[in-house]
Amino acid sequence: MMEVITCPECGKPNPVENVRCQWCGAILSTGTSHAQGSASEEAFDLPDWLKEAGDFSSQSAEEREELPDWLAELREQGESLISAEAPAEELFSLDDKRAETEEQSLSSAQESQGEPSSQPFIFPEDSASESALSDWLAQLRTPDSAAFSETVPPTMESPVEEGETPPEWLEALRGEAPITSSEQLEPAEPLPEIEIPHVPPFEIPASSDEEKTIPLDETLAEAWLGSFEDTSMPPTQEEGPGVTEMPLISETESNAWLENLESLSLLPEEGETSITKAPSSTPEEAQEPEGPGEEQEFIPPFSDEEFIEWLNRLEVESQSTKESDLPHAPAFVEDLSEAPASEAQTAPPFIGEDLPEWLAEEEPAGESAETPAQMAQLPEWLGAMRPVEAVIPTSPVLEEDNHVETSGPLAGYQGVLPGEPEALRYSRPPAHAVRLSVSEKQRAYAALLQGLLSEEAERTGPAVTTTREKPGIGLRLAVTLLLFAVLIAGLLLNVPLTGLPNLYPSETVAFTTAIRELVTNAAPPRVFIGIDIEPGFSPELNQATMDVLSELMRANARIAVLSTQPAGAALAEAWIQNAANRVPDYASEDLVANLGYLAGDISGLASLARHPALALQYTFAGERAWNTQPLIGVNSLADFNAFILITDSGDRARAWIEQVQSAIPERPFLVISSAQAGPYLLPYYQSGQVSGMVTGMAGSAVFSQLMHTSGGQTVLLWGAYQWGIMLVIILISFGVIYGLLQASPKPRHSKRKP
Amino acid sequence: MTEAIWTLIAFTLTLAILSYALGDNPLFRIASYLFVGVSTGYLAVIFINQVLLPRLIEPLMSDPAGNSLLLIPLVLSVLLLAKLSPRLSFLGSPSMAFLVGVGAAVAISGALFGTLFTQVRAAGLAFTPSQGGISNWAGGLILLLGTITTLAYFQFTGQAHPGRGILRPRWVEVLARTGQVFIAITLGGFFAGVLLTSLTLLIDRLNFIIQFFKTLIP
Repeated sequence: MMEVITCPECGKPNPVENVRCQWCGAILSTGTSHAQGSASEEAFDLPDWLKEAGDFSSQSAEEREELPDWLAELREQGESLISAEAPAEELFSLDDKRAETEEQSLSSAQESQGEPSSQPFIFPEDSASESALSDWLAQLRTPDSAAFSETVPPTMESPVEEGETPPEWLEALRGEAPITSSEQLEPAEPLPEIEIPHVPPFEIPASSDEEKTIPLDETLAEAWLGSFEDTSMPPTQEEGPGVTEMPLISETESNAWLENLESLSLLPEEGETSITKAPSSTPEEAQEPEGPGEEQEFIPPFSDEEFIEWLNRLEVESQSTKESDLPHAPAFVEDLSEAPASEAQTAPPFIGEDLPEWLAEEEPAGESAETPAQMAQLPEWLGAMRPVEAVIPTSPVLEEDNHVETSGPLAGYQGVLPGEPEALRYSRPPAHAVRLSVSEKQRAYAALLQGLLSEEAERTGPAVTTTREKPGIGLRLAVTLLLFAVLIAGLLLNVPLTGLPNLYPSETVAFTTAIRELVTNAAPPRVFIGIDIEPGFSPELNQATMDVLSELMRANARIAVLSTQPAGAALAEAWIQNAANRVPDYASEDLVANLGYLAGDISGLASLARHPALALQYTFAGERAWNTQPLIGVNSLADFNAFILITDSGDRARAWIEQVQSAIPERPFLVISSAQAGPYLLPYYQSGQVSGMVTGMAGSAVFSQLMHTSGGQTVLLWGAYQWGIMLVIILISFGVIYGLLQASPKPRHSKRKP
Repeated sequence: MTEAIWTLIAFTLTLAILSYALGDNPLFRIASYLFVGVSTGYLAVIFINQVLLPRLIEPLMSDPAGNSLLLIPLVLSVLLLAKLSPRLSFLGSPSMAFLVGVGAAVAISGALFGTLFTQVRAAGLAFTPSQGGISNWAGGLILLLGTITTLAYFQFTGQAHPGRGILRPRWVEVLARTGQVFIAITLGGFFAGVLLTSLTLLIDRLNFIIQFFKTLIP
């Protein structure tokens, strides 16, 4: 087996050659190595002084000088309290395991205070310190000394199991001297990490200089200390850390020590500092009043009944602790790599030439080096207090534990932590193929698409972009001025190129016929006029509309006017007024009902055709429509004699025809439209849906001739109208010729041969 | 006097609009903006006075119980105002849906029974014995030819030919070319009508200007 060193911090094995722990980095103490395959007993870190106590002789002088502060203070106190009559307390633990745990807790306390645990316990080099140590030990023998304070753990395993006889030292403790009074007792200072259940007498940290140690009987102290040499003594540096058991004290020695304690005056004097008192573990002790200046009766530390009761109580508490929900984890992890501390490695805490008798009676560490150190059992209460997982650092997970470092200063070592995590190890990125992987199916689709596109491109050919020059402002202005001149000349001169048209369109003839039939009828006709025209287009239809209205007024027709344009109602009002001016006898206020604006566009027309009473409720003036003369007796649109639509849009005229005309197919539906709507509405005339139509100025002129009217404004504008049309024809002709000349291929100039 | 002032204003605005012949200028913009504003205001007054008040508000105010059905258009009208807000535009969706649905239904029914069926019937009337005459038949044939060829022009279904692309059948192509001629003639007729209408309006405005100047001349 390879020799390894167990790290006192994490308890992991390390090679012997290592100075620092390869797991946690703590400094490895020399001489703590031990062979692997130790017994499967729990191992825990021993305090430094226990570790180094076996090798006290090999310690350097410098190391001895580095005494811990608490120990130095104890020595000072011991010297000053040699003659002090301080009451004594229970100094000896009843359980070997408890003593071991105390040692471990003290070692951790030392570590928390900044002292490396691996450093050996340093004793003073000079003889004076050794004499002081002896004196301190001598103080322990005096019954009045109170060098030891005991902090009883709250729970504790009963050292005595049921059915077993208690050990001798335990029985000896039953007759010990009473503990010190609690008047001047002060609560022990809690250790940084673990509450020390029982502190050995030489490990008490002095909280103040005023505390005085209680000298003990030397024989008893030697006996107690000697018990440490029997079994599980603190290992030496060579052996490594190991769990040591508290030395068993013989019954005679314990009885003697306890008897001496009884004779000690436990009541401190006033003014003297009190010793630290362990928290009471028994109810009797808890009831004892605490405070300075109070005198208490000397109570034996342990009486038979109380002792047994106390032990039993501890058993119950220990069991309850086991059943508690506290996380139970061993405070000390078994280190399989550690060999059981052999007796050769263990050493008593104080090894010197002047070893007290009671200590010398026990086997020294060197004599017991042959016997292996037994691993102490960690009490459950201690294990429950300190979860190991929270303290022991987790070991790094290495994929290859057998990896041997091949380079660097740690070459040859096995299990070396990598210098950098695996993730940070830079490596060349994998090379990926640049080419796109295309399947055969995708290739076929791509070829097909390419073929389609190529065929389309071949067929259409390259796009021919033709640039057209925008006509300049000069040309536009010239055309405008020319047109204005011609029209103004035609208006002023009123010299038409030709006379009024002699060819009458059939639709205009039909329109005229229908109007004549209406006006020549005996009964005054009832005519519904729909206006769906923009006011801007009204001049073109003004003449025709005036002529129709005039004819109807002369016939005393009852006229109902409805507009589907917002401004049409006002336009209708103007037309009615102008037409009425032509016929003075016509009572336009009574016989003409301007029904205003019909909203809803095509939906409104549908409503008009199907429910005229809902569509025609009020007039343009706000009166009830169905109370007016034109609508009296009207239940539906079929009650009207004729429908006349005045429009400038073919789409809107189509809506009138589709919605209204279909509801009254037997009634004539006449249309007065502008020239731009004429071609759009002509099929409706040819299909018979429109009875007659007057289109634009030409239609108005024809209607005037057919009705034998003066023509009015149409005649006045006819000359300018003809001259304007002629100019437009000329301009368009010139434009076409110019375009043809531009588009025609240029003739090739033949080269004359010389 | 008042009429003279309005005549002067009309004259000024007419000149401002005609100034567009020289290009876009501030006078033309002023006149156009003025026209848009006046038209919008007049439209608002007409809508309120001719539609909302007499057809919705007054009936509800006078007889709420008897005209309870008018609450439906009232609610829909209010919800339609939500279209002004991007966040609340969804509230106006029912109103828009009603308008679009009713309008589409009315338009489709009118187009079917008012235009499509009647025009198709009319296209065949020329060949009825009642019409008689060669001229009617000739006219009917031309009309039929024009109709068929125009419809054929709007057929864009073809066959793919290697090397030549997608082509229509030859007989369809001939009909389409003929229909293209009829379409061109129809568009020419529309253009002529628009030109005549515009010319008429221009003549009327120039006549107004002349008459205005004549009024100024004593």
